[in-house]
Amino acid sequence: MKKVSLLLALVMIFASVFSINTQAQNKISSHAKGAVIGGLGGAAAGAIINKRNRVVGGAVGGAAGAGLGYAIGKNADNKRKAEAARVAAANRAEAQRAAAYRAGVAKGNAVAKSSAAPAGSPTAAAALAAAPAAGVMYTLNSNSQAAYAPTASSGAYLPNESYGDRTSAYPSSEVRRKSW
Amino acid sequence: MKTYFGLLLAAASLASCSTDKKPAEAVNVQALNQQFIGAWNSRNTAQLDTLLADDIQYSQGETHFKGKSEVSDKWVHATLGTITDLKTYATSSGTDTQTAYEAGTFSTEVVPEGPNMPRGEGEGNFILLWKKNAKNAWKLSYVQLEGLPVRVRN
Repeated sequence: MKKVSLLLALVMIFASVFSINTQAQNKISSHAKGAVIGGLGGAAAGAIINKRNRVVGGAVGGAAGAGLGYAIGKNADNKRKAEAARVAAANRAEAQRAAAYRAGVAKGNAVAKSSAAPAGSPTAAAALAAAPAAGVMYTLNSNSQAAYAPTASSGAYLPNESYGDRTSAYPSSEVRRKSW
Repeated sequence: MKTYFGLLLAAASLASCSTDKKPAEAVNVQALNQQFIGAWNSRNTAQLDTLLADDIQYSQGETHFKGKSEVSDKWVHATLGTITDLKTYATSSGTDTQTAYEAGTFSTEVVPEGPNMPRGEGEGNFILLWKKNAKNAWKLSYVQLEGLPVRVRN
């Protein structure tokens, strides 16, 4: 009878410990939980098994159970940490890709602006005005070299005023190609 | 005798009906293109608009316009004032009863964009495809142009 009541008490203790642990899951680490549960379980089992000296049995069982529970909980903790690290690394990589994409777009826009600007800038306009008189129209000596680059066959080409304009026919050409 | 005579008359009338169908006339695509290029050089937008088909398509580089109003607005009206002396040199052409095309190269003078800007010489490749519409009128249905770099005219 005494044994039965002891067992029932142990079951109740177990139940209460489990319920507490599930409620406070976010606060207590897995290895601590494992140690507590294992310790209690081991103590109970030890006390039941060692009928001659229940105190010693409980102590030995408790220690062994606590150790085993700690090891299991630590293992679970490690797995959870590894998964969290993997997710964090994936997020970092995604953020880096997004940042690289944004940087690429910004760089492309800057290049388009800087290439389109010289044609309309005062320096380029002055160079254009002075060029006919000097007889060096749109050669590599002019300020905006890229726009007026000559070829082997002829001296010079007109600049593309629509450079970078995606609605125009030839937005990527630095020299004008649209005539008809 | 009377029966034979009647049969002969019927046969003759039927035969005359069958020969009444004329073969479809092949269009002169050179004349169509001359009309079109002439309208460009005289800057006659009204005539140019009448030559465009309702479902015309225009393609050059990264641009692709569809429909008479868009092509007229974004190609014809936008380009008309910027060039003079347009000439085409056909290297290939063909016609049938419903379609006619001419393809080759073109050259044109590019008007200066500003007071101190130089004139340009534009060249490129073209294809003009004409189709006969429901009213048997020939309309420009497809235009594809490829412009080469515009040279400064010395």
